[in-house]
Amino acid sequence: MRAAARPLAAVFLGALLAAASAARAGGVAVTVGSVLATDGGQPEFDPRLVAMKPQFDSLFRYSSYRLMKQERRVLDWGQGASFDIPGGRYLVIAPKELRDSKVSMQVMLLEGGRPLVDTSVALRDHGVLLVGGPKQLEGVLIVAIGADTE
Amino acid sequence: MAIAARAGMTCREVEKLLDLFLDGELEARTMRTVALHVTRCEPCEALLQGLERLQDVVGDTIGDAVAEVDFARFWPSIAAEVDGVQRSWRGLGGRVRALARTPLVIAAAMAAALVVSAIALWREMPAIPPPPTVVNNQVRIDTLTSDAPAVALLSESATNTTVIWISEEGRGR
Repeated sequence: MRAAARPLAAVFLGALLAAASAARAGGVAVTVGSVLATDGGQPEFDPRLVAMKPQFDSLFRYSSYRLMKQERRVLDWGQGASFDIPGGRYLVIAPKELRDSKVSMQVMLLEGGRPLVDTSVALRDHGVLLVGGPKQLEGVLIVAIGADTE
Repeated sequence: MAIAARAGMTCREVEKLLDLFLDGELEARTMRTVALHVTRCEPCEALLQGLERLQDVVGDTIGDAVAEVDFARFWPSIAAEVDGVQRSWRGLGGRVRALARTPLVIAAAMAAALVVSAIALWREMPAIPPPPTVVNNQVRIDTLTSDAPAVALLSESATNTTVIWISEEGRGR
């Protein structure tokens, strides 16, 4: 009985490893959205951000949110990419690996020759991390970074 | 020179990689090293900004060139092609009418019409809404450094959404 189970376990383990390596080989789709949050004036919520409304309402107290720019790119593991952010800033993202359904990546937000944020994070697959605070026009910028493995 | 040594790459090395940096084609560690160097080295930052402007100009020029193409000129030649196709179909018309008189073809046509109607009805049926997905944006932060005067971490409990909040108001305090 045990001898019969052994090949089955090997096949199962093989399938698991194959699935894991397929996810690794597929890379990761990184989405970067730049949101302008402002206060005062007529309250307004960009309909393109509706999926994030509960989080924004809970975390911030701004009256208006507008998506200024959104970019989605599929990156290979270990490959870095630079995303332009409004206000002459740019975001460097380098995904490292997928482990336990978490995407490890290096995230750098750069502004005028200085790193505003340089962080190493492990974000849940299909999850979103927010980086906010830099002044932008009459409000502040909130950058939403999402990662989806394929 | 000291700046370059601190960032782990010389200006000459960085200059050679700026094109690849802009295209996002560098390996992650190199990308980070170049990014760090550029943030601390004014000449390299100026060079990068120049390359960015150049890319913008090239993009705009190509866009303008495409916009200037007169597509109206294409229509006469496309119309001539369409006319030729229509003439060849006219010859087929007589043969199709003769076939339509045979009972087998009529039965096949009715069956096809029934299949098309069934598909159309099926498509009209309301779709079953997908089950609500639970959002979980949990993040583990391994390292975090910043040049900003103050950094705070905020978290929202319902979806575990984390915010790295940079405050520039603490400057000088």
